Amino acid sequence: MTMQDKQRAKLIKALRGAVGTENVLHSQAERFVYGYDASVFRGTDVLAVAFPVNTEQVSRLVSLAREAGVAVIARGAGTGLNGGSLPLEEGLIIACSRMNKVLEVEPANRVAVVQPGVVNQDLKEHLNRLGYGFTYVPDPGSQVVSTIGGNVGNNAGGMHCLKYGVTSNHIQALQVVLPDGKIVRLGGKTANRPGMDLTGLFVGSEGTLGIVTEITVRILPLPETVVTQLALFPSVQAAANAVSGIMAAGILPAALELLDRKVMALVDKHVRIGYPAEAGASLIIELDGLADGMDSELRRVAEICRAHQALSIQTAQNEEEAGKLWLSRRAAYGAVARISPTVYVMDCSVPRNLLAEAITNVIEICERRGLDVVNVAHAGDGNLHPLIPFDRDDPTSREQALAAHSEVMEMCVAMGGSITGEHGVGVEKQEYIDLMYSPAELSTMFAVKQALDEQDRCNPRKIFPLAYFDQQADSPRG
Amino acid sequence: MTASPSPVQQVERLLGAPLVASTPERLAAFALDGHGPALVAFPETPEQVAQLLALANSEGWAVVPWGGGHGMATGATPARYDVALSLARLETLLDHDADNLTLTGEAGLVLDEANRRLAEVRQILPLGLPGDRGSLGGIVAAARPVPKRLLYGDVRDMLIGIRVALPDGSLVRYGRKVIKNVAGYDMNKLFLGSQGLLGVIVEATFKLFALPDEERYVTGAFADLASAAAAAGALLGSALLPATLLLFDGNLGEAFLGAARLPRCGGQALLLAGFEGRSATLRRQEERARELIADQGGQCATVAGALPEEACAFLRLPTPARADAAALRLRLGVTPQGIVPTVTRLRESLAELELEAAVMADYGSGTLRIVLPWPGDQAAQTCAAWIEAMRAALMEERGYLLIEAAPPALKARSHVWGDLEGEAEIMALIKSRLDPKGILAPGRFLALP
Repeated sequence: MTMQDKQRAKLIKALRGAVGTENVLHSQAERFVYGYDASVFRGTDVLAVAFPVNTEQVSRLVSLAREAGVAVIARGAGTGLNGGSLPLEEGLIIACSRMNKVLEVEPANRVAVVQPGVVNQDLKEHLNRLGYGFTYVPDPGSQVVSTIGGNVGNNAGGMHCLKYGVTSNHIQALQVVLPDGKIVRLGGKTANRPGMDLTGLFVGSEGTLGIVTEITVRILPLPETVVTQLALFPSVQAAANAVSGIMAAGILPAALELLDRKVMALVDKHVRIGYPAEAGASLIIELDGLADGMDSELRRVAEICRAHQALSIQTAQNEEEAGKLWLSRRAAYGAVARISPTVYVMDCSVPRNLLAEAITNVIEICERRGLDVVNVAHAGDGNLHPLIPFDRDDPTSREQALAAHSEVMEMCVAMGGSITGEHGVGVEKQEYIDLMYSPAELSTMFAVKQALDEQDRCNPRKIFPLAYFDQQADSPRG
Repeated sequence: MTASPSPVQQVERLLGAPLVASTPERLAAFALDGHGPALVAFPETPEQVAQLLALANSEGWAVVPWGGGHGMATGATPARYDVALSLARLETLLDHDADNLTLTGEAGLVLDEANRRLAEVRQILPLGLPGDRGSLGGIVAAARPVPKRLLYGDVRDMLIGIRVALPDGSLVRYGRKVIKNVAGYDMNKLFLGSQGLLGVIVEATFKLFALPDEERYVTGAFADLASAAAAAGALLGSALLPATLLLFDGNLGEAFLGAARLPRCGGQALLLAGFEGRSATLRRQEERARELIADQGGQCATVAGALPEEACAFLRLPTPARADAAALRLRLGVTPQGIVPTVTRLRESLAELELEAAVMADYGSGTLRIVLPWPGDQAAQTCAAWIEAMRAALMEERGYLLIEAAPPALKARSHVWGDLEGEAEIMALIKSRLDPKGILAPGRFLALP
C-alpha cells in the first residue's frame, strides 16, 4: 500500500519536527541503502529513515507512524544475517545508530547502562579504558560493528557462550518503546524481579514486540588468567570426541571452536598458522579463571586431546600468539568470501555430542547437491556454521544452496537441535519455524505478538510464517 | 430436571477417584489464607493436567497450581479458588543426558531427589542448597533466587526448555536440549516467574554443572553491617570467584553459626563467604577472604567445608506454605551497594514503630530477606504504610519489595508484588490471550482477575 504524496509529505514534516530535519532521510538515494542488510535478502522501499537520539524521540516517532498507519522497523548496524532489519512494507526505519552513549558504569553493582546504538566492541573498549578491570562478555562475530541493541534484538551468541551464556544472560533490564508508543521499563538493576521475565522475553524478539531504547547490561570482572591452546586432530570426529572428553572431565572451557580441514586451508593463506596437511580439524581451546591449578588443568586438557588422537597441542605463550590463533577463527568467513562471490552462512545447533555426525551429514547433503562446504563450529555448544560458497546469480547454484539449507535445518531438528543457534529467524527462516513448533506452540507464541502488537506494525511480517499475518489481516476482528 | 455432576464428580470422572481429594482434612492442607478449594486434583501425566485445565476452563473454575507448596504463602488471598492442581505426582526424572549436561524433569520432581541422582555421576543442578524439597516446576514458576548465583547464574540462566499445559487444553513445548536456540520468542522466559498465571508447567529442561570437588566457607564477624558489606564488596570486586556472599544482620548471624555448628562470635554483623570448585583454587581464595575480612576489622574468621543440612535449611529462611500468623516476611531487591543504606533506612523506620527485624542479605545479587514478628492485626495499617513507604523508595531505583508471607490482614492492604507499572500491563495483556477467562490463580498476583 503506497501513501498519497500529500499524506507522505505531512508525515515527513512531522518526523522532522520530532527529531530535527537533519535526522530524517527521505530522498530516494538515501532510502535505497536501507533496503539492504548483511543478509541475502532485499527489503522494499521505505517512506523515510529517522535517527532519534533519545527514548522520547523514539516514542514520538512510533506514535506518529502509528497515527499514520505506518509500520516501524528498528535498525542497528544492519549486520544481521536473517533479514530482520529489512522493511517488508513501506514503513519508517528507526535507525538507532545515533543513540550511542554509555550512560552509566557501576562495577560495584556489576552493571552498565547503554543506549542501543553503542557498538559492542566500543563498549568493551570503553570499559577497558575506565580501568576497573571489568568487561561485557558477549562477543558475536560481528562485534566490531554490531550494536548492543541489535545484539539484544537477536539474542546474539559468540565464542564464549558455553561458559558465559548468550546475550540474554547478560541483560538485566531494558527500556522499551512499545508498538503503541508507550515507554516502559522491564527489569531493574537488581535480579529476581517479581513476575514473568519480560526482559528475557524481549531479548531475541527481533524488534517485533517493541523498540529497545536503553539497556542495562551485566559486566563481569576480567578473569585473572586466560590461556589459549590449539589442538590438531586427524578428523572432525576425533576433535568432537575430545570436546566431549573435556566436558566429561568436569572442565568448562571459556571457548571451544572447531575448524575443519577446508577452512584451515583457506584461512592459512592469510593468517599463516602453518596447519599440517594431515590435520582434518582443529580446536581452539580457551580456559580462563584463577591462576591456581590452571597449569594442571591445561595438562589435563592436553592429555584428553592426546587420548583422542590429537596430532599436536600447543599453548599460546603470550597475547600476540593467542591473538593469532583467534584470528584464524574470526577470519574464517572472510577467507571463504575471497573464493566466492557469495557465501551462504548457515547457523544451526544440535546436542553437543552429535556435532561430528551433524557435520558429516552436512558434507553429504552438500556433495549430493554439487556444492562445496567448509565448516566452523562452536563445538562446546553444538552450534554449527556450514559455509557454502555459491553464486547467487546462477539460478541452479542458488536453488541448490537453498535446498541444502532446508535439508540441514530438518536434519538438525531431527537430531533434537534448532534451526537457528544464534542468527535468528527474521525473514530467512520464517517459513521453517514450523519445523520446531506445532501449530498450538506457534499460535501461542503468536498470541504474545498479538497481545502487544495486534496490527503487526512493529517490524512486520517477521519470525512467523507469512500465512499468520495474512490470516490475521483477513479475519474479522471481534 | 437432571442433577448435573458436581465439580468433584466431574474431575473424578476425568482422572479417576483416587486422584481427587475432597475431604475437609485433605483440603485444609491446600488452603490459602484460610480459603480452601472445593477439591484437590493429583494428575499423573501432562495430558491429564491439560485435560483438567480444559475442563476447568469450560466450567470457569479457578485453578491454583501447587508444587511442593513451599512458596504458596507468596500471593494475595485468591479472589476465587475452586481447584488446587497438585503436580506432586508428576515427579519423573525424564532424561538425564550426562554427555550433554542436561536434565529434563517433570514439574513435581523434587530438586534434592534430582540432585541425588546427578551426584552419582558427579553432576549437579545448583538451583538450591542440599536438602531443598522445592519442585522443579515451583522453582521455575516462582523464579526463585538461586543461592550460589554468583557462580552458577539464576534460574533464567539454567532453564533451557519448558513444557506447559494451557487453559485451552493444549500442551506446548519450548526449548530443546541445546543451549544455542533463538528460534522465535524465548518462551522459557515468559513462563519463568509466571506464578501459575499463564499455564501450568509440567516439565522443564535445565543445563547442568560438574559437581565441585570441594566447598569452603569463611565467616567474619563485624562491629557493623557497613564493614561486613565493605568486605563483601572487596571480595566481589576482586578476581576471586565466590559462590556465596551472605550478610547477616544482628542476632541472625549468631543463629546461623549455631545451625552451622560453628563457634559463636559476637559482633553486629556476620559475613559468610563461600567458594567451591577444584581444590587447587580454594586455598588462596580462603586466605584472601580472611585478609579482606581482617582489612575491614572482621574477627573470628572460621573456615568450614560443606555446610551441614541444618545450616542449609537455615539459609532457605523457609517460607511457610500457609499464612504465618506470627511473621511478616519480605524480599527486597536492591543492588549490592544499596544493601547498607536500605537496611539502615529499614531499621530506623522500624525503630519508630518499635519493631525489630532479622535481615539476611545476598550481597552478590543485592537481595534482602527480612523477617518481622507480626505485631498483631491492630497494627496492620501501620505495617502496610511502612511497606508502601519502603517500596516507594526502592522503586525509584528500580528495585522491588515482594511480600513473601504475611497474615491476611496485611495482604488485604498491601499488594504482594507492588505496582509493577508497565510490566504489569504487559503481563495482563499476555494473560488475557493465554487465559482469557482468567481461570488461573485469579487475584493472586495481578490486579486484574
